[in-house]
Amino acid sequence: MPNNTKNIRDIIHGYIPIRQQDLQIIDTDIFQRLRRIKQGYVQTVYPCANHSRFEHSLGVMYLGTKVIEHLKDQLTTEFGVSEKRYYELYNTVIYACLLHDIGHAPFSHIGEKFYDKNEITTILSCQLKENGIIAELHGEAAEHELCSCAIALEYFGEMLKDQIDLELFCRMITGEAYNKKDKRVEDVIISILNSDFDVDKLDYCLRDSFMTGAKIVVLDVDRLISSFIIKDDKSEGRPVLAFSSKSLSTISNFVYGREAVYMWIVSHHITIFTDCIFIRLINHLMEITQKQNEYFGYDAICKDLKDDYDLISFIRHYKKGDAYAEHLYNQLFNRDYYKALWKNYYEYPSTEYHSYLSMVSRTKKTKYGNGLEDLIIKKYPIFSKGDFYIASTDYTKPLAPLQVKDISIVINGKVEKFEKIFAKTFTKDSKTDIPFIFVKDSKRSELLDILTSDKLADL
Amino acid sequence: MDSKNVLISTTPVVLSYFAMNKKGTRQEVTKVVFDVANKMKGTNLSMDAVFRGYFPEGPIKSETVDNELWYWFSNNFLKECPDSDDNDVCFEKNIDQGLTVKKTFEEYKIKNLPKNLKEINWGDDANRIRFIEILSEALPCAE
Repeated sequence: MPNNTKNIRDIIHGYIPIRQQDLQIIDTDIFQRLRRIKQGYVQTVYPCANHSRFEHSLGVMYLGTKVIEHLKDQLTTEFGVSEKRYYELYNTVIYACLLHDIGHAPFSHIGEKFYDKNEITTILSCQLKENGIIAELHGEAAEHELCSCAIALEYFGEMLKDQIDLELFCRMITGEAYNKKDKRVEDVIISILNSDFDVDKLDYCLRDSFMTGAKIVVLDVDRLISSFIIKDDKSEGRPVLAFSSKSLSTISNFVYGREAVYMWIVSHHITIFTDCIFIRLINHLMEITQKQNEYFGYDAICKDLKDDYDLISFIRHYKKGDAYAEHLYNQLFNRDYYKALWKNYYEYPSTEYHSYLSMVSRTKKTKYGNGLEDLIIKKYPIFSKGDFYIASTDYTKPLAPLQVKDISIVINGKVEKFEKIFAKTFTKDSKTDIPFIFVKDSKRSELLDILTSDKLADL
Repeated sequence: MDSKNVLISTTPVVLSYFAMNKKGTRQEVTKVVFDVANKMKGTNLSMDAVFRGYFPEGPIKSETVDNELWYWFSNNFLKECPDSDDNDVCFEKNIDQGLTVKKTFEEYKIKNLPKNLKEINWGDDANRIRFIEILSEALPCAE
């Protein structure tokens, strides 16, 4: 443990050591704002899940520090990283982990939908230039990551520029690799924070699992981190961050636990419903008031420090006298929820809904809802706006074959993929991504009649 | 003309890809979506997707495209190819699921797109036409 540290007691990791220089970032208003940004909006199902981006950021920093410390010997011996360069990489990992979420919107991913990506990428380009970074970052990361990078450069770039590799720092947050032969070590470093098995996911799965009370991810973090290893992957022709085989059981615990977190917490039908209603309520009020920039513009985040409380106050103030907004507000805050036609995949009679799925395919996503609702309302006057909602999960499915393929484990000196090693227990039929429909009781039978008949085809 | 940016989900690109191709790997589909997103630059259109990895020519990953593929896989519109190899998962149309699936993919063929895709709020129909042009340029057409 470094000298001159403070220790912050964390519910997941125990004492997290904080260096004096880290406090210059943590004890600022812009970082403290994260205390007022909830990690997710799942407390409608799990009332204890009130954890914020603040403790998550500290947790990710703690895990990132442990990983880079563990990799020190390998980096300095096998990969020829000098002691001086190692400490630059060490600090880069610490600060990228600490600041990776500093640009999150009020209510995290719900608010992120209202960010203007063009504005953020333009500001980030300027920040990169001002900090002497000539990298061609393509800006294909999520809005909050681009915003985090821009804020970090604007507020802490001057302070950090002599301690860290600023370009690598930005690439760690945005997940954009170098793809250059002389930057292969740096690409491995990026994957500590941004890959299919990174310290960000590790912390939020542990934290969500614990704070909800579900406790479905329980694993030996020290054992897992001690098994991190950098290994040449012949199929990819470059070194990758992998796990040694000594933590096979811990990795499988994590992967299956992560699936459970998504299925029963993130994709719980009530979480999907409240996310859907919340987004529509914000969208409706922003359209009326034209105040999107005041709550989700770059300056709103880093200068006005807009947080969850500001957004709730805004909603309470502007919903008054607006029937649709009041209707959405009452559902959300008075727990006056519509019932879901099905609550999970096992209740979802997909064979009866093929016409419906076909329609969803044509109308699946607009930014704030589903176009199929408008079509049904237009064709059948019995329905009016707000009688039913169509929504689907908006999160990456953790156990999809796509995600698990990228988790590398070293078996007998060779890099293998999780899916292959766990072929017997891993099922690709884990079906979790279905569209949900929420309808008011009085219109349930009419809606079912349309969804299960050929009437949809006439829309 | 509505100068507001139109944010397009990956849905039409992914479904059109499989409408025009018997099968495709995760990487092939992701590259096409990335290509479409790049071609949108400088227009009123933008792609609602996050990409990570080795731009522009290396392997690219996208949680958004993965999510989209998983959605259609979960709902039986796509299935895994029998000859899918260890390096990359491959998907193909699940035409055994019957007429609805066939009809859906038929609607997403390039030749049929001009009369479809009207449900999206394009602001101006010129945006829809431009999107179809971009999609036509980007899609490899095996069928």
